[in-house]
Amino acid sequence: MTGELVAALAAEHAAIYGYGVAGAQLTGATQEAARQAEAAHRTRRDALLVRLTADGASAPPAEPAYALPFPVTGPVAAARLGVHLEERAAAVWRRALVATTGPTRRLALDALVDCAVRATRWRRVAGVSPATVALPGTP
Amino acid sequence: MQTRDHDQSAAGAGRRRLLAAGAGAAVTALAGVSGCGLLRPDPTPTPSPDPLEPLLAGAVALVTRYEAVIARLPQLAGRLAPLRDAHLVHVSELAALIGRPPPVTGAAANPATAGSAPPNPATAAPATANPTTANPAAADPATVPGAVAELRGAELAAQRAAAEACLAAPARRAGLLGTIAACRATHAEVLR
Repeated sequence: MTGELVAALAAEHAAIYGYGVAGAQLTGATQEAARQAEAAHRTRRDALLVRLTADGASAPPAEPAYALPFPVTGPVAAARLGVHLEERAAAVWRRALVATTGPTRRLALDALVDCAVRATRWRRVAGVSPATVALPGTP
Repeated sequence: MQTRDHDQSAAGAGRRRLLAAGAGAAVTALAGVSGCGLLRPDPTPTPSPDPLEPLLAGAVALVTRYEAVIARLPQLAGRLAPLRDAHLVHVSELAALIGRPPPVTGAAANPATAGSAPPNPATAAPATANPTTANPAAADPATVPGAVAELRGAELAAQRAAAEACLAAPARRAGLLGTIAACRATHAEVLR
C-alpha cells in the first residue's frame, strides 16, 4: 500500500503548490475557494504523513516547484488548473482505495470524494459543462 | 473499459465468497442439529445475493427518480440528464462487477412513463437501499426547487450507501464503489 500512498502524497504536494499559483490569479470568492482548497490539501497531506510515518515508510518532501500543465494567466486558467489538480489527486486516491483497508481506506475515500467535489466546483467556475463526470478519478 | 479484467475476477471472488458463506451456514446448521437434535429446514439451497445487489438496485432507483422528475418538469432536462446518465453508467458498471446483465432501467424501458414505480420487481430497491429523505418541511416536489432538493437528498443518502459499501468491499471492488460515492457527492454539489 505504501507506493499508492506515496503517490497520493506527491499529488497533495503538487496540489498545494498549484493552488498557490492559481490563487495569485484569482480574486474575491474564487480566491477564497482556492485558499480553502489549499488548506484542505495541507490537512490531507498531514494526515497522510502521520499514516506513512506510523507505517515506517519514507515520506518524500515537496519539490521546490512543479511544472504546470498549461500557462496559468488569468482567472479562467486558474480555475482550469484547480480542475486539473483535483482530477489528478482524485485519480491517485482512487488507486489508493484498492491498496488499503480500514481507516486508511477511509482516509483515501474521504480524499477522493473531496477532490471530486472541488473539481466540480472549479469546472463551474471555469465554465466547463457538464460540471460532473460519471466516474471521478477514473481516466 | 479498463475495469473488465477486474470485473471478471471480482465476479469470481463474489462466487467464492458465496461458497464460503454457504459453508458457514452449513456448519451453523449442523451445530444447531447437534444442539437440539430435531428437524430444521435445510438452510443451504438458497445462495446469498451478492452484497452489491442493494447498491445496484439503488442506482436503478436513482435513474427512475431522475426520469420521473424530468418527465414532470421538462425544463430541468438539460440540468438533470447528465446526472441521470451518470447513474446509468453506474448501473452498468455495478452489474458488470457483480457479474450479471444490467437490469432494465426506467430510461431504457419506457422513457415517457418511467415514474414512481421501479420498472422491474427483480431490481426494485429495498427501502434501505434508497432511503427517502423527504422532509415534511421541504419544498413541494412538484416545484423545481422542491424536486431539486429531493434529488439532492437522495444523492446524499446514496453517497453514504456507496461509501459504506466501499469501506466493506474487497480490494477489487473498492475503486468503483469509491468512485460512485464521489460521483454522487458531486451531484449533491450541483443540486445545491
